[in-house]
Amino acid sequence: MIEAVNLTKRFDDIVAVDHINATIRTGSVFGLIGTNGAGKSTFLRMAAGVLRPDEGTIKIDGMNVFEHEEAKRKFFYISDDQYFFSNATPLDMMHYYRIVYPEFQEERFHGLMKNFDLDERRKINTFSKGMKKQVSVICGVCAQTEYLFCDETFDGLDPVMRQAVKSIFANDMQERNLTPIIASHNLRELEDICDHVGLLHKGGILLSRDLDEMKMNIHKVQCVLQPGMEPEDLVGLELLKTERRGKLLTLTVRGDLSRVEFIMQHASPVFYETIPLSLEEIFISETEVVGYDIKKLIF
Amino acid sequence: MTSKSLYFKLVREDLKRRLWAAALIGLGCFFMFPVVAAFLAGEIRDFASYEKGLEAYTRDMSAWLSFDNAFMTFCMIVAALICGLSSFSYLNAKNKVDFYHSIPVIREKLYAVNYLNGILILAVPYAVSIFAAAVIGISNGMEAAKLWPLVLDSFVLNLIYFVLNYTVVVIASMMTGHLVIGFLGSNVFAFLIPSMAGILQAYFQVFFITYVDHSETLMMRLMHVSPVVEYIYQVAAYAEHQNVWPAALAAALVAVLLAVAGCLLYRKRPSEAAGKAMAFGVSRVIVRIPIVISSALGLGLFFWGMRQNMSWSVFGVICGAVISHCVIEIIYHFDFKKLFSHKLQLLGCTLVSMAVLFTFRYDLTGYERYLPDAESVREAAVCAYSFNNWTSYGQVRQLDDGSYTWDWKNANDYIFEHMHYGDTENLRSIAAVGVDQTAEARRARFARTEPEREMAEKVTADDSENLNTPESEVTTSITIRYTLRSGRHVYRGYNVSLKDIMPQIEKLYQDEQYQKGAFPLMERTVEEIGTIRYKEESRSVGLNQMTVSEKQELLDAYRMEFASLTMEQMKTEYPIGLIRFTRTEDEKAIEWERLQWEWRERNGQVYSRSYDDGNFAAYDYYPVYPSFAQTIRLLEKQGLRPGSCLGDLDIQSIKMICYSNTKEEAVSVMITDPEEIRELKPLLVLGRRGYYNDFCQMDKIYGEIVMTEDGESSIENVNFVRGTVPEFVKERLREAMK
Repeated sequence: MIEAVNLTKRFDDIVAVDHINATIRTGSVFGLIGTNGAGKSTFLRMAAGVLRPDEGTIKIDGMNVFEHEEAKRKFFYISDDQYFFSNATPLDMMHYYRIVYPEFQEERFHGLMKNFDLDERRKINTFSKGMKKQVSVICGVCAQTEYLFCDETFDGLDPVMRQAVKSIFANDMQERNLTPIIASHNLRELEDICDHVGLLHKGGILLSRDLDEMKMNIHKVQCVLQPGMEPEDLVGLELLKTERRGKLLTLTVRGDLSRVEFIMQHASPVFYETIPLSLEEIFISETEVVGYDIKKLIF
Repeated sequence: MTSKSLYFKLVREDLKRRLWAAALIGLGCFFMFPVVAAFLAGEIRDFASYEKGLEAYTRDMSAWLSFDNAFMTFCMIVAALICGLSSFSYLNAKNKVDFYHSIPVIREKLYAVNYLNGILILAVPYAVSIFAAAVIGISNGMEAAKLWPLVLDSFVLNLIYFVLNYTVVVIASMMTGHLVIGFLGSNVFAFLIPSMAGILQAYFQVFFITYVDHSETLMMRLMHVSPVVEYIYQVAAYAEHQNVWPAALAAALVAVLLAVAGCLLYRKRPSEAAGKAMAFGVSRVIVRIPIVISSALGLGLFFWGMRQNMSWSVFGVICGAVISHCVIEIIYHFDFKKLFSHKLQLLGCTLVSMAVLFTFRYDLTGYERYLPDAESVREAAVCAYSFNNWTSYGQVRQLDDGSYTWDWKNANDYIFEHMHYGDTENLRSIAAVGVDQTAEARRARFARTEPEREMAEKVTADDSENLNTPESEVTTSITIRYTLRSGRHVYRGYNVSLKDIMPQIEKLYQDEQYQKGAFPLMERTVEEIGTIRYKEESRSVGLNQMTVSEKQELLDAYRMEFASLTMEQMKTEYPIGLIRFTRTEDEKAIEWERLQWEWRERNGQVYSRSYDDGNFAAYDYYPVYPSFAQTIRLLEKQGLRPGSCLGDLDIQSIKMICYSNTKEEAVSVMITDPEEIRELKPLLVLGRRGYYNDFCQMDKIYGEIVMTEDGESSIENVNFVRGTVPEFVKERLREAMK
């Protein structure tokens, strides 16, 4: 478990991370989203022991990360601009990682490189941006650490590769309880990967929710009500948002799906159907509730 | 995996990353050692005989491989810069910092790996190459027993100073976040303090007449703070055959301490400093303020040197402060628009610099007027230049290769070390005159305009155009080191007119403590003495047959007469000869030197020997005055005829010369009449002996004699004591002037 308590980091006059309290549980994919400058990278760099917090603590499995070798052996950090030695090949990088990560799986590395169709002996500086990210992820998963910190790692990966990476993550999560922590400014990038999402804004954490829980608890209902009936007349329905297009209403509601359907059936509308929300829509709804316009924060 | 094996694996991996530096240094070492050794070996065939060729090869190889090879010093400093900057260059890039600081290796280990590799990159190719060069040298006939110690000395000493300089560059890297700024930072560490010390010293020299330059000043000590300057100092000391090992070991210790400090800095260094100019906010101020003040003072002094005008100096101070401050701010922020950041600091630095300038110019601290209370002075040391300017300070030392050198000691340093003069009242009296005369000298020096300065200088100028030399004002330089009761040393130097301090200076000369401290002979024992030598003109005699008691008698007699010299004697007499109580070690050096000359002459390397060729034979002589009756009697007892040499000279002609103020060229008349030469002979003072007495004034008329000695003709310069030139000579010169 990663636990941040009152975590704060300042760069001169700028407060990059402002008294963040967060808990990241193991065995799930944690998505960290926010606009540029929201503090995602700073948070991850503190979690990786690169930066020393000005205030508060960040612990991995109860151990302070900064300058703690044992704590650092528990994660692999892929920065937004991952460094590879000059003129190095993926094989050179593997040799280095094998030294510093004792559990590094060499066989798996070769296998994954082959599966991703990457030449182990080609210089990394001749790779495309996406290929470099693939090399980073392969090195990261082969390091066999409990946590994998990915800073904007999925930006630029094509959908096929994202799916491939996702399946690797799923496999490792199942087999060895890997916990990937993925920072991105793009909600859509994380939607199909994350289990839990934390929204950072101006250095603070705006909300932190389990994605399934959010998806189970928030729904979109498209309906045409009986003439004279208004959405407010749907007693027991927790309305978050109402959109009207002629007679067609689109309601965003919170609550258990069966209960929502029961209320809708009981109201005998002309027509109704429940449709799933995208992560983006969930966040729009959730943040609007707490007074933010998510479109200004993320999109 | 043990931590130890991880460490060595990281060392190996890091070396792979820095192969370019290792290759560069390896290539340099290859060309500088084995290639040079093989190249120089070709010299042997260039000579007619193998022995001569081998001698030349041995000499050149030894010079090349030795620690005092200045080119090697330069290369080591450059290598320290390359290795130091490359060792921790990853700290300057965010992505590299993220990489290295996120892997499970603590910073101490990363530091140790990178620090050690920076040394190995140089040490290994250097060791291999110098070893190869030595093997090539030995295989070409060089003596292994002499070459190996030299190579080992050179390797270890160079490596120590490389590590010292490298560590300082590493610290500069730790304190900065950009490669270029790291390079500039290394230069700041290397040269800021010596520059500040140099500027401060220049202020003392320019503005304070009584300032004494000597090795104990704070400024001189500060020079050693720089690793580069210290390295150069020790190389120079090694070249002068001084023992540099204590300093080298101290440097090694300092390097270790700095390495530990570097590690602590690395732990403290924030990762976010990558890409910034300075890693620590506090160091910005610490570096900026001394640089701005030094630049302001430096430019102020430059303008003073150009115009000797305070307005221009103030202009220089302001320009120096503003320009340096702006440049530093631009560097700190990488932004031209930030050039006037921290205006208050700029103002403060300018005001401080201005205050320093005015303090020196107007002597606001009363430096020149310093006169300690008699009670506050425990003892003193005085160097009166006119008394001891001929004295040889230092001693002979045999080197490891069997040759000899003379370890010179500066007169001030020797006297400060050996003299314990206790008559503080007499000293204060001399110093008081010095303070008054300094005040006049300051007025002359700082006269605001050229005409005023010329007027001030004219006061003491001799404008006589008469052939009769008037008694000019003889001044002497006096340097004093007061040792106060608090243990503090205070130094002052005066240029004093002798006529104003004659009683005091005579009292000083005749003080036993003064003499013991100023003249090494006064402390010498008869046991130390090997031979007594006596010299007149070019004739030198070694009194090898003297018994110990005879030596003791002569030593006592000479010391007694020398110590009892009065000012009156010195003003009127000239030494008739020179005596030397040679130490046993000196004799060995003289003999070694003689054999060297003989060998060179035999081998056609030298065709004539000049006076200065025989160094060891020329040092440490003391003057024998005509009034030293007892000494002369004892020398006569040994079969010598002191004072007779001049009379024995076969002089063919004397060219009498005089410079006139109205003519550009000197006027001369030739004396060839034997009678006239005979009349002039007793009056001649040969130039060499004149050097031993500053008090007896020379006439403005001087001469050149053509003489024959041992069948060989030579020309010598001669002088006359003031007023002794015969009237017939003056008459002829007057005729010639018309």
